[in-house]
Amino acid sequence: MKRHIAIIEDETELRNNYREAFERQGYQVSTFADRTTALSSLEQKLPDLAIIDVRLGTDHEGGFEICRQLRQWSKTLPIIFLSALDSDLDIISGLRLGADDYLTKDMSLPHLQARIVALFRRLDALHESNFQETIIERGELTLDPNRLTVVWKGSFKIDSSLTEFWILHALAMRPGHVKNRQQLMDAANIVVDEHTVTAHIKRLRKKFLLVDPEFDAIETLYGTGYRWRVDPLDS
Amino acid sequence: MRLKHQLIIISLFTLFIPWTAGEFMKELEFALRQSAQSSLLSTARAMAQLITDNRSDFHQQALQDLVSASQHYPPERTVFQANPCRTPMTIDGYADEWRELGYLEYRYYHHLDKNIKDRQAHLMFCSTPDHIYATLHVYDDEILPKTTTDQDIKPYDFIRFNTVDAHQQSLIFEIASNAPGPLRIQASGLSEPENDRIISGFWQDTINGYRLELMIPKPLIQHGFGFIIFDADNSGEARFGSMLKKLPSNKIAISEPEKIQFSNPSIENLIEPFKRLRTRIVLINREGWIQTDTNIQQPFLIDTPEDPLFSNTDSVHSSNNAHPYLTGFYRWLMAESDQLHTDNPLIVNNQHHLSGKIIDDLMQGATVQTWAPSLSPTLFQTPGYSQRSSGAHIIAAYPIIIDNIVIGGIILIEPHKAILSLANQATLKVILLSLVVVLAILSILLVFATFLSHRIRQLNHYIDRALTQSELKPDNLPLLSNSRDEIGDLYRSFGKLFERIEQYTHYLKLLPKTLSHELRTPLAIVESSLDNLAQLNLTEIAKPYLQRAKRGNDRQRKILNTLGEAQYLEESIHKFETEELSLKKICQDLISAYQELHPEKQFELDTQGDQGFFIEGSPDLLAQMLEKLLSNAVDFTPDAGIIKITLAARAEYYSLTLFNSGSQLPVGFSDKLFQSMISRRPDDSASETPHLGLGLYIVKLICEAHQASYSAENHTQQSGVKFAFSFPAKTESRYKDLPSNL
Repeated sequence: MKRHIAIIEDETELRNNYREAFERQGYQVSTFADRTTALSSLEQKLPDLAIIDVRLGTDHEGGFEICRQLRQWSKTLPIIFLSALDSDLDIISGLRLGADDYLTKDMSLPHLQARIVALFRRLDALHESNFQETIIERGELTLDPNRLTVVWKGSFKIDSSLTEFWILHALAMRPGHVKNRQQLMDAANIVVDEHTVTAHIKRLRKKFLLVDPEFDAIETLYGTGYRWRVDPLDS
Repeated sequence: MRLKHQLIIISLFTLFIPWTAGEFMKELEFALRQSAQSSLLSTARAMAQLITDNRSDFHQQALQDLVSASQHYPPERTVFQANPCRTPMTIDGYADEWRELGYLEYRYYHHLDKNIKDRQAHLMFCSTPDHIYATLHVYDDEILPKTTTDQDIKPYDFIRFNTVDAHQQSLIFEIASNAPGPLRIQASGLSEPENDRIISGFWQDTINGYRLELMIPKPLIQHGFGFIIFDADNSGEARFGSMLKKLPSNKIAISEPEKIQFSNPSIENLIEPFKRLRTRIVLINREGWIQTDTNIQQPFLIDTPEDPLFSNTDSVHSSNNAHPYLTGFYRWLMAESDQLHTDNPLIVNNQHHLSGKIIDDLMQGATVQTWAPSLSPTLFQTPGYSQRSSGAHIIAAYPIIIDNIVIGGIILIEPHKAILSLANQATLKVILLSLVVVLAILSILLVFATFLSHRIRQLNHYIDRALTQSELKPDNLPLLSNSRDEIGDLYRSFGKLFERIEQYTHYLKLLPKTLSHELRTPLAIVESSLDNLAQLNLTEIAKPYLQRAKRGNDRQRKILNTLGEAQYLEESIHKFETEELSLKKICQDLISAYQELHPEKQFELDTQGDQGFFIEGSPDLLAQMLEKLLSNAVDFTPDAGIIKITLAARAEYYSLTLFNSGSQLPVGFSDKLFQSMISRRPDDSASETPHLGLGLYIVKLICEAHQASYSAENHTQQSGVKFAFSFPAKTESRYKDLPSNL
């Protein structure tokens, strides 16, 4: 069965571009231009993944509203925000509403497609349990690339967005090695300016600190980048 | 020149007010005097007319007398004036009747020293139809009488008179006294006494000398009268001529008899009808001799400067009681009108003779009207009007012409008390008042100028502040905003201007963000279309174009990102969360990162002490700020140049300075450096990343968010630029137990 992707985007041309690209990849795509038509249609049948533009014409917060509604209907439905708004505030409010990722519109199509693949894979991994990639353990940190899950100190599950997962993954793969922002952006398949990386790192740290106030494994090297601190126990 | 000084200079023109007042006074004075002169001249004309038209015998005789009187007498000689006796005279040696009646008194001084009191003599005359009465008071400390008992002639005091009688014969009378008493003196050299040639008199000793009272038959002295006083003192030596009549010759020749001018009632009668109190009427003959004068008691004074010993000048000087400074000032003020009269129109040669321009004109048959300030050396004294300094005199003269021959002239002199007389007081008042007014105007102008320049300064200050502030916030300045004048208008116009600029700036600030937002969607359309295109099976020919289109699109995106950066940063700065951070750690990280990136340049970090330099703030923002500074420094530092960060702890703050060697800031640039859209980079359009001059603006925003001060200046010793910052220090640190090399 074809996966069903709902694209809610007010720009016709962009909408068509996305639809055609995704259809070419074998997805079933339904597109909506505004909140009302989108919600009334999606209420009948939930898609497998939703890509939502935050601003829908004059409806400035329409995307957020749709996200909130969809999240009510389904806890697991992967939601990606795709927006021209790329300030920290927009990203954070988007993620807070339960979106799995927040991407800016200048994200390239292949990258977007890769994201979607990754999200579907995580979705699949939740249902199946065939480990295709090795689980990474770095000291207290356990990363499962298949399920895209993060576990800290064995018991704390960190609820990370897709971007955050890949940033964390890139850092944790080589503890002690400095990753600059560009590298992290490449790893997370995001193409925005560097300060978005800072926002993601900040958010990640907060999530860890929420469960473990002593957390300081992600170290900032000003002017260079970030690194996963070498755990003395681990080495 | 400041506005205030300009106004002060302009206000000095108010000094024209007193000047104008002075001019006005002069004009008024002139006009009044003119009219007074004309009326006086009319009077003179009427008088002359009356004198010449009256054909009565009596008048004809008088006119005849006028013609014949005093003809060809040298004007430098004195003339004694013998006025009619007012009471019957008694020859008793007492001078009571003389004094009281105020006859003309001739005073004589010692020819060597007029201050010697006991060497004075006073002489007075009066006349009856047959006799001349004279009194001579001689001051003498010791009277030596003539003693006839001895054979030897001892020195004695005596007086010698010489006269010229009606037959032009000279006679000498010597008068000495053995004791006070009546005298009868015969002319010496006459063999037998003649009754009509005897002078009778009376010798009276006084406290300080002696007095002679004489009765002289008129024919005896008809044509001349002179005298010498011989004063012999105790040493026995006769002093010949020790008392001298002062004459230009100044010698013994004084015994030369002087002319005696008898009052001629007929001539006096000519002017009798015109006598009025304040007008002095002088009738002169064609030689300039005064024939009659309505003010005989106060004759004209001779004021020839070479004759300082002359008598009455004493009283003249003492009567001048005006303030010398005021007089001087007044004269200076009235200089113009005064100047006209430095040449005296009327010269008094002696008490009975006048000359000068007036007389000359008069004898040419012309009428004269003029004036003389009382301050001029010539004093005209009129009855009841003797103060020298109290005004001017106007003079009118009219010739007396009979049968086309000028036989004399009538001169009227009247005090003119109009403005000049009041001038000393009035001028002072006017001047003081004008000064007060001028001062008041000056101070009002000064206050106003101060107020005005204060307001303009305030406006200037307001504009300055608006120009230097990052945000143009119009202040409400009560001195400017409430006023309805031009400065208020200017203030309001500037307010509007700033409002417009503010709106414009606001729009400009929003423009990048708006642009980047708005452009992002079309960019995404292009991007996604290109991506779609790439996923189709394109020919090899088409692929490079696709690549180029993608590259171009990438570049556009970068430009958009840069454009929006400042705006994002401003937003994120406004809501950043503070945490404790170590400046040292950030600097260390950055320095090592940059050293790695730019090995050709020399990076240094100088931290004094072991402390971590903890402050409260956002590490990311500060790192971003230092990155901006460092990348800026890298761009301007030549290879092998130095980039050095110095951290130092001060009392309440940490100072961070970043020095980079290389080119210096242009003059006046350091103030503008931190403003938005200011770049000192050379125009480099080929550069991949656009430079919008936002780097240091971001630095400034971050500094302001951290309450840090910032400055940029050229290094004084080395060639290069120094950025200095000071951050408020955080005193307690939760990392204080950690090693400093975090």
